Amino acid sequence: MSELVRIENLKVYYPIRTGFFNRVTDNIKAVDNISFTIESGQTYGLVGESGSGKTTIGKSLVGLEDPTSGKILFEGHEVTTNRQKKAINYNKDVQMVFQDSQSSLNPRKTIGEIIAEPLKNFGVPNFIGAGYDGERSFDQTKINERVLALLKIVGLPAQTVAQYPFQFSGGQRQRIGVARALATNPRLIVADEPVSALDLSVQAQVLNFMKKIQREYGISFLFISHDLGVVKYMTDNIAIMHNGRFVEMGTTNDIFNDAQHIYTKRLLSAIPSLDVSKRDEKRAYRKRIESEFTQNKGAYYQQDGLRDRAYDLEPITKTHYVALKKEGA
Amino acid sequence: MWRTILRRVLIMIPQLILVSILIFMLAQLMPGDPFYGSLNPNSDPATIARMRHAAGLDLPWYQQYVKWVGNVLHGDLGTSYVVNKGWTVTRIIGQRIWPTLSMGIIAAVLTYVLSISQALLAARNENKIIDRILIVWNTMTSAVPSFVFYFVMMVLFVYIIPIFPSSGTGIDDTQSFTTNFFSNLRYAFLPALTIALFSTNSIFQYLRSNLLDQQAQDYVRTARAKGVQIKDVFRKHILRNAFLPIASGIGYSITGILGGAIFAETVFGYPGLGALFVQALSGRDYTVITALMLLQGVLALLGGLLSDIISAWVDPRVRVK
Amino acid sequence: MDMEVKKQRFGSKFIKNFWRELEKDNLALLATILLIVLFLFIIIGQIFVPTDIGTMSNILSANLPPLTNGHILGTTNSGADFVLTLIASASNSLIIGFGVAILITIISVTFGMIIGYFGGWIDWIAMRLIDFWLVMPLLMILAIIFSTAKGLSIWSLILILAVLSWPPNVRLIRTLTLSEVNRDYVQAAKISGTPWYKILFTGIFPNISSTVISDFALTLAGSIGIETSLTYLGFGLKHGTSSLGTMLTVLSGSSASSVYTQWWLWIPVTLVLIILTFGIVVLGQVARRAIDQRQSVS
Repeated sequence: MSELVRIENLKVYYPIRTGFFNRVTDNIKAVDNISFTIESGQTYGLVGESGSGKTTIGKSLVGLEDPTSGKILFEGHEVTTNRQKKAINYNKDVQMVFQDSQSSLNPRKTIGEIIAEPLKNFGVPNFIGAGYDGERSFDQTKINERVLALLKIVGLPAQTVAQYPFQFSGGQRQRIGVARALATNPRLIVADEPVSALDLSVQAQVLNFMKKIQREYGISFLFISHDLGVVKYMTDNIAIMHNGRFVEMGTTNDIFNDAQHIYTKRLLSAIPSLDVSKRDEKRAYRKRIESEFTQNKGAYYQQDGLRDRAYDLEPITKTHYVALKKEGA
Repeated sequence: MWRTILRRVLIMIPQLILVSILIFMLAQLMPGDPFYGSLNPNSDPATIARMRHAAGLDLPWYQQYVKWVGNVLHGDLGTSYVVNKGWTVTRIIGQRIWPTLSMGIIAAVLTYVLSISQALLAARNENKIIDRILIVWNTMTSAVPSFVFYFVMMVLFVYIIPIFPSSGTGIDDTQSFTTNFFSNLRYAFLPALTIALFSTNSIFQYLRSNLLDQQAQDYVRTARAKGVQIKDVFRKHILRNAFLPIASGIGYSITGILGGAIFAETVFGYPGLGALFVQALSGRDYTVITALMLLQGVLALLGGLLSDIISAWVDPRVRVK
Repeated sequence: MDMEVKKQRFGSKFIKNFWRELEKDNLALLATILLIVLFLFIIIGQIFVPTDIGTMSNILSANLPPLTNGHILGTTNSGADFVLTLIASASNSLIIGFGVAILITIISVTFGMIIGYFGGWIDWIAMRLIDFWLVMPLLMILAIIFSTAKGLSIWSLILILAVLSWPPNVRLIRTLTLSEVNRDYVQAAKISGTPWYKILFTGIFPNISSTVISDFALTLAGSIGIETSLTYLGFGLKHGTSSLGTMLTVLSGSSASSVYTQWWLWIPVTLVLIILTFGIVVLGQVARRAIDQRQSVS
């Protein structure tokens, strides 16, 4: 299992300007000192509420946001800035699936053109599979073949190629987005809330396609979501974010069976369950967690202005990390 | 809010300076100089040179500019050589500014009255005949150059159905201010009404679509579901929301007064600043032209300032702060 | 997907949509028919127009009333046939209008899209410049330039008009581009490795093209209007080149009676002007609706 992507001390700050001369007075700390590693072939979930910074991390990874400071390394090469990313054609290996299927497909282009776009720029790999480093061709027939092959993988008929996005449903459009992300044999796909905008029944369908692709082609996934239930189904490792920082990180097992941080426990307790008989029990549990959260805040958070700022992550086991006040600090 | 206004006013100062420099340079580019009109073909070159030197015309341009600015700030805009030979420009403009202003203000007010009532009528009767007629009318009046309509209006209401006087401003130095004021209204009304009739499109289009959007909004449905009568909903909620952006447009009407006056005054024979501009340009009276351009530039800046102030004042987000 | 096939399909779909929109709107249909008839008249009429029509001077047959000597609408004050002069004027006005509109559209689309896409300091500087430009008294400046040049040729007029009036259009294009730039398909194009100019002109532009077309029509009608208005005041084309404006200068300073008795001097010209400008604007609106019609499947 090799290290694919390593993020070190990533910070993404947005300046706030106030006053008569529009001076920079403070910063919005969207991403506040994050470090973690993505191994090849593994799946990761990034969970948090809106505004926690998870989308910003995804965008910085892919190249749509510029980090304020910190490092991003891809297979040992530094790819923090866009120039560095361009130099190694980074995006042929790291792609993204967007949340809004309506706006992520150009309404004036046919599906064929949309999927072919990354192929036109990075070339068609000779066979499908992550980690392919060999020949790439820019031949138009090869591109067309590949587009048809991709559509088949996501379960859409061949005549889709000549149709327009408005002719498809949300779930179908999202599958097209997956096909586009898959086109150049990426090693890592960042999926930013890919099913949040879909009906529940359709969600399962799209998620299953993604799972199938992940297994068959050995692609690493970074799955960003606010929905712990979805993440549990899709990923092997989970990181929980709050206010731009990690509060807990570990395998899916660690998080769901041995949650340590009160924020994690709070999120878990909010997952609705179908078991009606345990309803009162669950409600009592939720209330207890809430009070625990407000009482024990000091042990887990420090104050940064008006924001709660989590402590650094401390390892509990080899895989499990929790943000706790360091002993003796 | 005061902070925004203060910043806005301060920004206007360098803008004013830039505008004045540009206008000054434009004026320099025009052929002819201040002595164009008063030169006698028999004057000898020495006299001409002396006169030019006395007027500072052989100084480098930036010094001339400073001199000019100094003069302007003291109220000296130069002397006219063609329009009214020998009068100071200040006097000419002073004589003609009231008619243009009165016409302009009436026109601005009428424009708002007409556009708003048209928009209300159209929005309440969406897609019915009256709405379609209003849309076609507004499209036509905005696509076709207005002076055509001005001419038609003049022929109609001055000659065919003689309601209004055909030329002049009704202002006479021998009369008192009040007499002049009311007499002027008779002369100013037709041009003002004509201008207003044919400039309703931008406000009409905007307001109508805004009103239609508001009507379809959820909060209107909620109010009606609660039993509120549609006309009350209209008055209390829809109007307020739709009118916010219109209010800030008021400043820009000030900017448009002089420009619109150029055509209207020419067609209607109403000697105000607009007609003055045409006269001065045909006669190459460069001092008058420069002064008018400067006036327009200042009006434009003031108009923009007024608009910004009104929108800052009217913006609910700013008010809460 | 072959680009050629796509272009053909777009073209035929557009025409189909265009007719559909026209059928829906009776008034637009009427305006379009009138406009097409006028266009044909002008184009075919060109054959009959003598090349010296603007400069000929035939005092003997000047100002004849309609239906004398085979002149359907009489003659102008230089003795030329009125109808032929009208044809020449209309085509000149159209050439000017198209020239200006094409120039302005190309310039403002290029700048507006680049400014909207890159934002940042480019945007800030450009907006300050445009705001400043709008403060200047454009109409006056145009009038001044036209008057000092002792009458201009058509191409100089086109250039001057275009160069002085393009900034306001940039604003519109910039706003349109801004609303598209934040949509995810632009982000997706960026990480697909597409270079910025392709994103702008083959990705974003098709999405704003409908408004660009209707804006083109407005600019076209507007420039015909500005040229006509300025020439009417006396500042504009040099003597010998006729446009609809020069034909209307007869209106300035006429007495009431001549307006009645010599109605043919101005009513046909006015009608032509109205049909042209109104028709163009309406066509632009129809075109915009046609392009936006993506709900229809061919």
